[in-house]
Amino acid sequence: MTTLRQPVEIQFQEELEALRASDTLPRPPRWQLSPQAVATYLLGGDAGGKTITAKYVGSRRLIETAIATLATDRALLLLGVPGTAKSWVSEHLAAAISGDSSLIVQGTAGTPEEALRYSWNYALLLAKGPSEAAIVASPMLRGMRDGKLVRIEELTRIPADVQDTLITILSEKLLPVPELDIAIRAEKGFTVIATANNRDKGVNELSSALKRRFNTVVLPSPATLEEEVGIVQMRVAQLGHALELPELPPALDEIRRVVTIFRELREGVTLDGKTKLKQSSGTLSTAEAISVVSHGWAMAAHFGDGTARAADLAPGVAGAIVKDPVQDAQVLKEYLETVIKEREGWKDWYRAARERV
Amino acid sequence: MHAVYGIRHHGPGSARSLATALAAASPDALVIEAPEELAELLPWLDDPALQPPVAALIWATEDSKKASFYPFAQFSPEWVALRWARAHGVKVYCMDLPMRHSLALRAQVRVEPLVADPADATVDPQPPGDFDDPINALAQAAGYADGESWWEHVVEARGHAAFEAITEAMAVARAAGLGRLDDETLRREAWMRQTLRAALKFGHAQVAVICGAFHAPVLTADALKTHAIKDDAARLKGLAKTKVDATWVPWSHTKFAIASGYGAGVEAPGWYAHLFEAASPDDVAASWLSKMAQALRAEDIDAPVASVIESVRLAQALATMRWRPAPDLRELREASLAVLCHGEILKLKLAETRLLGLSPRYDVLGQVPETLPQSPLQSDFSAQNRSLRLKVEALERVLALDLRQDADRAKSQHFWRLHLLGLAWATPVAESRGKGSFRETWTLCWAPEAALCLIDAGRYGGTIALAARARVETKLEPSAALAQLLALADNVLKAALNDVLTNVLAALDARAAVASDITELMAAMPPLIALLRYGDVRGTDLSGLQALLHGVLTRSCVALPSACAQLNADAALALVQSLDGTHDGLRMLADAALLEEWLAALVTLGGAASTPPLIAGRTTRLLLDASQINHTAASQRLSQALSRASAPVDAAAWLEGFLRGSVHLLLGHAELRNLIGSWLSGMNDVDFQSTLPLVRRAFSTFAAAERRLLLQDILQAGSHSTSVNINDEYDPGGLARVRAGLRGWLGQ
Repeated sequence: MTTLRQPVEIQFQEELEALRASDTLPRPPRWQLSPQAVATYLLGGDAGGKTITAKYVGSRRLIETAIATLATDRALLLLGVPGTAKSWVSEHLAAAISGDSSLIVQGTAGTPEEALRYSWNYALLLAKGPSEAAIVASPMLRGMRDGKLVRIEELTRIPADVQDTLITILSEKLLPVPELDIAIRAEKGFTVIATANNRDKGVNELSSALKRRFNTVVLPSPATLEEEVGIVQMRVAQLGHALELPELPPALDEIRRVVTIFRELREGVTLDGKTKLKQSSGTLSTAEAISVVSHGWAMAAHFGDGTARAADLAPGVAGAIVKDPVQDAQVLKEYLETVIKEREGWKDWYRAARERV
Repeated sequence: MHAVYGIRHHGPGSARSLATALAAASPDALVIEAPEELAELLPWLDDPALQPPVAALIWATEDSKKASFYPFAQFSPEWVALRWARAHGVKVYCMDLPMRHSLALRAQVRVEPLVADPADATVDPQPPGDFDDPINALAQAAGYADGESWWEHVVEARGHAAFEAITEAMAVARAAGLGRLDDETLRREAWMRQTLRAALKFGHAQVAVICGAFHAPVLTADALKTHAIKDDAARLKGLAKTKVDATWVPWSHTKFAIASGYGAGVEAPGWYAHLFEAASPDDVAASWLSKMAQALRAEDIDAPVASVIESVRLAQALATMRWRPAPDLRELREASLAVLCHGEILKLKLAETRLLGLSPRYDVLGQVPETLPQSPLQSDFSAQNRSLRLKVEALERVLALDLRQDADRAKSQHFWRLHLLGLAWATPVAESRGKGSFRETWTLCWAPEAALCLIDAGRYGGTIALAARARVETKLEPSAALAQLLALADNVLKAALNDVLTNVLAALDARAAVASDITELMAAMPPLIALLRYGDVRGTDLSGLQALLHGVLTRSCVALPSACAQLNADAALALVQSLDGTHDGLRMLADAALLEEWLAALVTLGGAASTPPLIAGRTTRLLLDASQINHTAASQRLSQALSRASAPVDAAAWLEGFLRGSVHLLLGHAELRNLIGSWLSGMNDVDFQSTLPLVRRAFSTFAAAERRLLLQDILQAGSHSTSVNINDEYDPGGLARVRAGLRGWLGQ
C-alpha cells in the first residue's frame, strides 16, 4: 500500500461490510445501506458485534437531516466555515450510501461547463460524426448513469453561469444533450452533495433558483472544548498511522492546550469569559488544529526525542495564527503577554512562543 | 360505577382522547378537578361570546391581592370536557379544594417576612395540577423530548384503553417518589375523594372523573376503599375560611408557556393550539409548514410553495428515520431550517416568533361576554373604552395623541386617570424631543393580570373618576417628598380632576413651606413651571398653581444666598442646573413680576462673597443673557474672577459657570476671549495642570461644531496679532528626540 491516502470505502471496508450484513431495514433504491445504518456509520455505534468508530463528532440531528435529505432525493448543501468537516462528511456519506466516493467535481474559479456535463472525444467526433459514443462523461454524468452519489466541492467558487447548469440536473434529474437531440435521464440512486464555505471573499453566491434546489445544513464548529479535543486526538492518531509516524502520539494535555489556544482566539474571549481578545484573520478551525498537532508530532519524531512538547507545537500554532504578518503578529503578542504569561503551568509555552514571534 | 380519566393539563392529545372517551362512555355525571367556586361560572360556557383563552379568576373579597387564575385554552382537556357536559346537559361536580379554604390557608402559610412589598404579593397563577410533572419524567425515560410528544405517541395510537395504563403508570410513579406529595396536595386529594363519594352516593349510573394524571391513582374505586372516610375527614377538619368572588377574565396564549412561570405550562402554546385544530394527524405537518412559509413571506423572505412541499417530505423522512409515526415539532423545525430558511437560524427564529405563541407581539387574547357580572368600575371602564373607541388587546400598540383635538384630549385624560389607579395598560412614552406640549405618545398593551388590578381598584369608587380621586387622596400624606407631590400634581392636572387638584396644591404648599432643603425646592421649580405651561394647553384653572409657584419662588429667592454659602462642588453643579432650568422656565412663562423677583435674587446671589465661584459665574452669565448687565460689566467681573489673587481652581470654577452651554459669548466678543487667553497663558505649570480639567469641562459643554468655529476664530485672530512669544531657553536634547521621532514617523 503505497498511496498516501486510501479512499474511505477501502479504509473502513470492514465497518461497511459489518453494517451491510447486519442491516435489515429497508434501503432506498441503489443504496448500499439503510438511512439508519448510514447514521450509525457516521456517528458511531454498534453493528453485529463490531464497534463502528465515530466519523463525525457533533449534533446527531444535523447528520440525520442530511441523510434524510439524500433519502428523499433532494440535493444536499453543506455550509460552514472552513475546517468544520464538510468535505469529510460528504466523503463518508458517499462511501456509505453508494460505496464509491470517487465521483468528485472540484469547484474552482476556472471550472468549465464540461466538468459538470460532458466533453467530446474529438477524434471519434471527427471520424464518425456526432454519436453517443463520442461523449466523454463528466463525473456528474457518470453518477447519473450509474445511480451513484456525486460530490461537488466548493460550489460557490464555480462561476455563476456554470453553477446554473445544475438547475435542470437537480430539478428534472435529466441532462439534455442538444447536439444529439437526446436527454440522459438519471437512474434511481443519483443524488448530489455540494459543499461551500461562507467565509471567503471572491465567492459566487448561488442564485435563488439554485439555492431552492438544495436542502441546506450548516455544520457548526465544535460546541465544547472536550468535543474538539476528542476530535483532534482521534484524527491525529489516524493521520499519524497513515504517515507512519513513530508510536507515541502527543499527550492529551498538549493537545488540550493547542485546542484551548485555538478556541480562545477563535471566539475572541478567554474560556472563562473574563478577558476579551483580539481575533486573528486566520480561521483557526479544528482541521487546522489537527494539522498543527500532527506537524508537531512529526517534528518531535524526526528532529526531537519523540515526545511532542511546547517547543515542537509552538511554530505550527504561531503559523496558524499569524496569517497577516503585521496585524496578526500583534494579536499573538498580546495574547501571549496578557493570557499565557499569567496562566499556571504554561511557562514552557510562553517561552517557546516568544521565540517565534 | 366510575371511570377515572387522568389527563395532562393543556395537552391537545389528552383533549382529543378525552372527547372520544366521553362520547363513547356517555356518563351522566362529570367530576372535574377544579375548585368548587368554578361551578357558579359554568353557565357562561353556553355563551358563544366566551372565547378561550380565558381564565377563571377567584379572589378573596376582603383582600384582592390574594387571588388565583385558572386558565383554559381551547386545547385544554378540562375545557373540552366542560363544553361537552354543558352541551349534553350532564351534571358537573367540581371536586378540588374550594378557594375559600385555599386562599385562607395561603395567608396562614405564606407568612414570609421577605414578601413585605405589597407589589410582590399579587397573583399566584395556581395551576389545577402538580408541579414536578411525572409525565415528563416518564417521557424522558422513554427517550422522548417532552411529555406531549410521548403522550401523542402513546395515547393517540391506542385510544380509550390508555387511560387505565396511565393510571397504573402514575401509581408506579407515585410509589417511586416522583411528584410532590406535600400537605397541600394530600389535603386536596382528601377533598377530592369526599366530593367523589358524595357524587357516587347521589345515584348516577356512570360517573366520569377527570383529573390531572398524577391524582388518578388515589381516585379509583380501590383507592376510595383504601383511604378511610375518617382519615380524609380528619385531614379536612377546621380549615380556615374567607369570602371569595369569582369571574371570567380574558387570558393570553403567552401565559400558557412554561417560560412565563406558569407551573403547568407548555413549551409552545401556539404549537399545541395548532395540534388541536388540525383536521387530521396527517394534516399537521403540511399546515404547520404552510404557516411557517406564510410567516416568512410576511417578513419579506421568499418561501415558495414548492419549498413547502419539499420540507414536508423531509420532515416525514426524518420522522421515519427516528421511528416516529408522524413528524413532531422538532422534525418540523429541522425541515423548515434546512429547506425554507436555507440553514439560517435567524430566519427560523423570525418565523417562529409568530407561530409558537411565545412572543407578546403576536399574542392571542380571549374574550369574555359583556353580560358577565362586573363591578361598577369595570362597567365604567368598558363604557369609557367604547365611547373613546379604544380596544383592549394583548398586542402592543403605540398611540400618538394631539391634545388640541377634543377626542384625543379625552383619551389622554382617561389614560392619566387609569395611571393614577395603577393600571398597567397604557404607559406614557417620554417625549425625547419635547417639541410642542400638545403631543403625547402612549403604549397600549393589556396584560391579563391587569383585570385583577381593575377589580382591586373597585374598592376606591364606582367610576374611574371617583376611584382616581379617592386614590389621590390616599397619596396625600404629609410625609411625601416634594418631588412625589409634584409628580402627583402633574398627573392630576393631566387627568383633569380639578376638585382634587386644589387639595394637592394645598398639600404642596404646606410641604414647600416646611421644606428647608434649597436643592429640593430649586429642583421642584422647573417641573412646577412646566406644569403651568401644560395647563394652558388643557384649559384648566391655574390660579392655585400660580399662587404656589409664587410662594415657592419667593421662598427660594430668600433662602438662596445663605443656602449657597456652604455648598461643595457636586451640590453646586446640581444647583447650577436647577438655576438654569428655573431661569429658562421663568423667561418662557413671561410673567414679569416673577421674573423681576428672580433677577433681583440673582443679583444678590452674585454679589454675595460667600457664593461658590461656580454659581457666581453662572449668575453673571444669566444676568448677561437677561440683559440686566452689559458686556463691560461682565468683562469686569470676569477679569476680577480671573485675577491672580484668586486661587486658580476657584477662577476655573467661575469660568466654567460663566461659559457653560453656549459658545456664542466667546465668538462675538474678542475682549472676553483675550481675557481668558491671557489668564491661561499667564499661569505657571502646576496651576495649569490643576485647572486644565476644570477648564476643559467648561469647554466640553459646547457642541463640536461650535468648538470648531471657536478654533477658527482664534486662529484668524492669532494671525493678525503682532506679539509673538519666543522662548529663548530650549532644550537641545528634546529637539533631537523630536527630530528622531519625526524621522521614525516619516519612515526614514
